[in-house]
Amino acid sequence: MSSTITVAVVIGYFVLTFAIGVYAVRRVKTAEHYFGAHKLFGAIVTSVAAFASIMSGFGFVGGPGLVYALGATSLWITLAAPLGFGLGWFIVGKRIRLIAETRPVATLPDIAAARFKSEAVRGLLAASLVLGVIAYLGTQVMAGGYVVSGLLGVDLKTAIIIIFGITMIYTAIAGMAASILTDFFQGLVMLIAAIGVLIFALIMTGGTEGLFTTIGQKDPILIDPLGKGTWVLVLLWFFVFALGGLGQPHLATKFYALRSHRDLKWGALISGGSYMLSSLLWIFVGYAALWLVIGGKIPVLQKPDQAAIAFLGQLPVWMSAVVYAGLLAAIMSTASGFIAIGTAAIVRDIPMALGKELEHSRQVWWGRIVTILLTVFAVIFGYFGKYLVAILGALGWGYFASATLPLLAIGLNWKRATREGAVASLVTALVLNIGFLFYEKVLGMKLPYAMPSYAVSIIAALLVMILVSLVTKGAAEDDLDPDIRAAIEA
Amino acid sequence: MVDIDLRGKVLVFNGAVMFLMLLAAFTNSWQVLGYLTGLSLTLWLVTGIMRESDPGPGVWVGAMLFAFWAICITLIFKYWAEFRGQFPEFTIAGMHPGFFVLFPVMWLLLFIPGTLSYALLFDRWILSDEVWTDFKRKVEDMKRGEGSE
Repeated sequence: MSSTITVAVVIGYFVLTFAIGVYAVRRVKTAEHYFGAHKLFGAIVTSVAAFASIMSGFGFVGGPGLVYALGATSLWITLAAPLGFGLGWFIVGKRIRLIAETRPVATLPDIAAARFKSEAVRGLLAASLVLGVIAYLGTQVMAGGYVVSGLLGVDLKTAIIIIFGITMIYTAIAGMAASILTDFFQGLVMLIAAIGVLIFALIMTGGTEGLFTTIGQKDPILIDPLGKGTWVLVLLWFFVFALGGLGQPHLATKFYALRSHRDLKWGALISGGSYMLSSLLWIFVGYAALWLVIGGKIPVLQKPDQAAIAFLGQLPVWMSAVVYAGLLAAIMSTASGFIAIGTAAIVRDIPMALGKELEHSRQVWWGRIVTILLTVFAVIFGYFGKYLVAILGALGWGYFASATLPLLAIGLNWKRATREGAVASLVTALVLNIGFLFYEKVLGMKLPYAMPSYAVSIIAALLVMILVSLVTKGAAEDDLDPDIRAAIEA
Repeated sequence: MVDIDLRGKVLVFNGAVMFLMLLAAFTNSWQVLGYLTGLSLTLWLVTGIMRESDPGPGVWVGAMLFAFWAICITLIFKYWAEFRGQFPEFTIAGMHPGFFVLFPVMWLLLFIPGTLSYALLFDRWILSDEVWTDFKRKVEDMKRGEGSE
């Protein structure tokens, strides 16, 4: 169990997060508010929430671990992301917000169904989202559980119940509105933690001069711009993490939560800038852990993922407490967004795709029930799933990007993009992601030069969307609804 | 013959660039992959900025992004090859020169055309009051037109 100060800060963080989440219910007046926070929040809240939902627990633990193990290789992921926020706002931000002005969109499948005039596209996308959400949440269960267990000195099961119980209750009460409002608070906690860590790491190591010279003299590859990876890996990482961000449902959903079209203006800058600051934690915690090991101040780490925890052990107690709160914030903000997205897909989109729309007044009620069931299922799956969790967890990010990116980035920018192209790209994404999963996890094979398989899936899905659209005609050009056509032309 | 507007042509061309990226990756032609990656990201940025047949500021913002990318990636490749496996002959603030170009130089430079420019262009091009009013009017006109059919 941690010190009294750490426990107090963590409990205080939980109480505040819960209170903010429950408070959000005051904003929820319609099913669209519950499932999509439709036009509920201003620029600062949605932009910080967008950054917080994208920066998951991986940025706090996995990222520094990769720096510790490979040097600069993983920096190509985190350094690409701020550009990704800009591309998100440029490529889809305006068009999603314009569509939200003319119809009550609350989910990504709502947008896709409106653009491609197809319930099949809605259903396929919704099913993809549910699969991805369960896969992602499953991986977060054990991570969140271990952190809370270590901090509060409770057993793993109790720890999982605490962190996911709190997240589940406020998300069930106020849906996406609670997710966005708590994400905003959690984003602020992450920023405070990142700035504190940067300052402390530079003071401790004697600035960048002392930090990189010490590491470079021991192993020069750790401080060069490639690290221990391959060029093919880092370049494709940069590409997919700059472009793929805008295909992540937890980012795209923030655009129709904006109260006014003018709230778009500063969003890219606030989100991208916030991510830039928080990525300093990824970079400097990893290198500071290397500096500590090389300098003999701590023993060699058994696993790279211990880098963040080892570094936190060197911080003053109050500072490490804030960073732990930041880590919990990163896990919970991403999890609540995914729970809300998965719930909306089950309650709203899949029934609509099957031609059985629930009454609006019943949708919120069912939303709360499904939020609880989905979270409980994800927790049980995460806790007992073991090997299956690891396999499906690998789908996560790349799966979302390859399924949604063609629909949004091409569909909302090209009137010539067709329904057939959308269906073909969704099927391509599903087949390739599951195919590569089998190829890598079951057959134990790898693509050459450490090429990330999801980069192939994403590019292939985009190419299929373009090529099939060139030879088909469904829901394109003059067949588009007036508001969709105007949004694409604007 | 398929009729495609300018933005469609940019998307189709970008499709060809992304296909070449896959070929470059599978053949480990990483220098080529480096420049194609910058080109494709630039084309995506231009796609987001432009209107259907009007590139607007997309041309110069895209050119700026690609120029920053090309200069930085060239320097990163050069310094990496020059000092691979050894402590570099010179450092900048203690950093390997190639690392310094990656972080913070490229990181900050790409942020200008890729992200900061959104706020700078918003009132003039992205979603000016004129564009917003025009959008609202267009939707009303189209709905009225369809209603009277």
